[in-house]
Amino acid sequence: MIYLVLYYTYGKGLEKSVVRASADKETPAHKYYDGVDYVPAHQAVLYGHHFASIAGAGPIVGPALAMAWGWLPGLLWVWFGNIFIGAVHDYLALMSSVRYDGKSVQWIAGRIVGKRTGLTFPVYIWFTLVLVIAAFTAVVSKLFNSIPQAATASILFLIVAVILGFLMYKMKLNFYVSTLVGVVLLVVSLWIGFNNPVVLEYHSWNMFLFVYIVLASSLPVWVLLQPRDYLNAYILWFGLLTSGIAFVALAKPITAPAFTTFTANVIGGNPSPFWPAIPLVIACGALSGFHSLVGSGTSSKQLDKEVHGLMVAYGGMFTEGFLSTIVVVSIAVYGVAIVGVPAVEWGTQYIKAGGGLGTFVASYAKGFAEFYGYSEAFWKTFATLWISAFALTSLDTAARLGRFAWQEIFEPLYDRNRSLHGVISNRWIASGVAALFGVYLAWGGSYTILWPAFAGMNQLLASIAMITAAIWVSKVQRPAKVWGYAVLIPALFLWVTVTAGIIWYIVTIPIKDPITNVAVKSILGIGLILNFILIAEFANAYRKPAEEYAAMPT
Amino acid sequence: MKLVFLLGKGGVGKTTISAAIARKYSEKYKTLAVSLDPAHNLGDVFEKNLGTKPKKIDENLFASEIDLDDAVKDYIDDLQRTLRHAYRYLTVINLEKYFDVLKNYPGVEESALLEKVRSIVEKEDYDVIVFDTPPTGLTIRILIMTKMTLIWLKELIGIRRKILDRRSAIEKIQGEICVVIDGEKFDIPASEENDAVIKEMLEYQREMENFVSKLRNRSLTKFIAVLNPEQLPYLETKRIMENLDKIDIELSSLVINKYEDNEISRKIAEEFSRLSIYRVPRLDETRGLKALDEIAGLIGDI
Amino acid sequence: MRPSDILDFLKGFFGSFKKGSTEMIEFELRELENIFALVQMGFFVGIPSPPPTIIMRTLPHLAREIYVMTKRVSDEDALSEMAGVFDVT
Repeated sequence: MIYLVLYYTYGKGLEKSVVRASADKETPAHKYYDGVDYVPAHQAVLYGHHFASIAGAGPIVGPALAMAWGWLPGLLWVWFGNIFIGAVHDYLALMSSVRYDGKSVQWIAGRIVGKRTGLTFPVYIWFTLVLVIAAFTAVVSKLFNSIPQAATASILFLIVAVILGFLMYKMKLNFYVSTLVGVVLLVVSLWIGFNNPVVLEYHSWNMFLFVYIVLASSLPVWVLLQPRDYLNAYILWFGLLTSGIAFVALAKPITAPAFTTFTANVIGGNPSPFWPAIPLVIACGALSGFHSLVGSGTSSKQLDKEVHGLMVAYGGMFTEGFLSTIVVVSIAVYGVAIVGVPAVEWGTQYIKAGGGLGTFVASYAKGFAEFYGYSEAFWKTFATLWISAFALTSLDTAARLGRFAWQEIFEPLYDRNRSLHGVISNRWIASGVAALFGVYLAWGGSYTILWPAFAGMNQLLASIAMITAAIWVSKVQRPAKVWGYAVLIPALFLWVTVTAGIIWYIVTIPIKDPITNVAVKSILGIGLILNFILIAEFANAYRKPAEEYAAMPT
Repeated sequence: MKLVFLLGKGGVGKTTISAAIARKYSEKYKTLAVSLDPAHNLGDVFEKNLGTKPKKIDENLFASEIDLDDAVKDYIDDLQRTLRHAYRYLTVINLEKYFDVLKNYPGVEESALLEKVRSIVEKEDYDVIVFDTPPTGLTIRILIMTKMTLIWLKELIGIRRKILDRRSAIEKIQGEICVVIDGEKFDIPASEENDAVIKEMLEYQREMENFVSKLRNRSLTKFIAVLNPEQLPYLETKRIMENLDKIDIELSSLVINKYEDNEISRKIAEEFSRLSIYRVPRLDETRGLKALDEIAGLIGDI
Repeated sequence: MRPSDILDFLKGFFGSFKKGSTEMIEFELRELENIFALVQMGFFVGIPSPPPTIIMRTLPHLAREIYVMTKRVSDEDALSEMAGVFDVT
């Protein structure tokens, strides 16, 4: 409901006054038509595509942790953050990319805000990816450790993916037949996994994942990554739709408290003020930095008419919001029973009692069992498989991206010291370093600590995108004052919040293992430094007279 | 068809020996003597004006001289033409500037000559072809180019197969891929039968492999080194042997031209004892068919 | 919203599954095509290049590969393209 209303008012307003989208302007899809990347797509088709490709594991972990503040604050952040910050950010990223011939926001940032912004990216991204690896390794290890049936199922799933890859891409079996085979085998592995749990320690899973990361990211994509990514989509939508129906139909009363305290114990079980810590917890539900890279990936090259952009971007955020809402609702309904903590002590005890992801999995399972029947434990396995499927994919892709970013960073070394460069940019070293670093962090820290660190970096990335959009808007588009602020204020708000949040994190959150402590905090520290460089660039760019930007395409 | 290649340092009398050998073969077989040496001495030896087209010298004996500069120039023109055609799509690189530089394209000289030699050999109009080769360095480069070509082809064909593999996997699912550049539609081949590129590469690979195996076949091809009993030619001949070894080619025989019995000629006899060694003494007259017959007599069964 | 719109939405929605099933392979394909063209043009960009005869015989058929290569050169943005295909979160 809220979404629809705001779509028409706020969204349309942005479109008209800020972007000045026009139905007649030629989009890159037409200008550069090449039948491959630049192909105009039908609006609804593109929306469907964008919609389906956004969600992942992120929108689940965050809200699950945020429940410690009660179900209301998290939900409000998801909904409103989504609309005022997230969707705006995505829409502007999409449209500015369209105006710049389908280039990414990172590229645009380099052009508009300043050269330095463009250069800090690979370093920034690399550290973020290390945290991604850390956070997801921790998540998966914890899940595998507590729900071993899912561990087996996941490993079998890997094999299924390889088989599917072989059938579909090597044997070139009919698309629909192979898909069917894949899905059936998936269900089978779920069943087998359910009956044959593999029990290992948290640290053992850490090591298993390390090997997995290095190996998986070195294989050609058709072997494992592509087929699994493909099957993941089916898991996701099956999970979303069935749970959507189930929870709506069940309409059970909420037992968890709406609001506990402002400073509930969330991050690592430590007291965390809702502001500025919230963006560190709920990352993707409302806003994701990597999204701005995605938005300028394929969608901007396929937009048929500029006026289609609004639906595509806004609609996409809607999916994310929906997913997060499900998470919150399921925990809100069953959380108390599962965690065993009375509503009164919810704020302080939720995380300590093991709340978080586990709770989501359990409550999701409960709801399923009630509505669809069959064993709760089985649905738990499914839910865990869901999360780990995405997490495993993220680990794989993060390692690949990390390898690429690493090599980009060390490019300049090529001219200075060729042999050293050869050693450093060797692909095994490149993958190995990121994986090693990430897994090491997971070894020493729990996901309740690592996740916020990753989220923090991710949000910084998002704030770069927003600030780029803000500059683009205020300098190049130059709308009426009011709208300029509509973009500027969220951008600054985000920046301030995230920066404050990260500083708070560095100062107050204790991490047991000393090396992990130093490592995580230094990464965040580096992020902060880059962040301040960025804001300086922004201030610089803001001060530049509009005439300097006159040459830019509007 | 048999092939004979004469290698050796400039000035040792390669051309004369080549002519003599050709003369010898022409007693029984239709023979062509080809000179690739820029010094253009073959015409002098046969006492005739020679050009690219084979001229009849005597019954069963033909000769031609290939102008290296012309051959390389023609080759570069072809290269330019090819690049200019592909230039249509290369909007980023301003190729015109680089066309002059093409002369320095690594391997242009040896490639041009290699293709020339191959085309002469492929024509098969003769029973025996005797080649008076260019200066050693270039000759070795030409021969090594055969190996380089095969190495590169193997790699490129490998990459091409990976490309075709992925294209066919994608096409099976998404339907035919096509691309539009500057309004022109292009079909994207996804299988070996449809791909002009890999067919071209496989064809070239076949041609080159055939050529190389011919060269290595001692019953079909002879590599003969000509030298004088002097220090420099001797050292050069050793180098020739080493380099030929790198491409698995063995020398068949050695001809010591302007022979005299000295320390070096004895050293040569000792070191190259595995090969058949022929000795041709210094002669007053080395031009004309009569002189060649005399020399031919000295090298008997070569 | 017309019924045909909903149909299109569903088309896009389910189509994305199909599209997603080869997205990464397509990325890899572009990488390979880029390399293939780059190697042929190596002389002009300072990397070892194949014997010119090979180039003469294959270049006339390489329109698409050259297109992919030159696009990459002007895009300067391989990392973002990669990040778009290889979704992290």
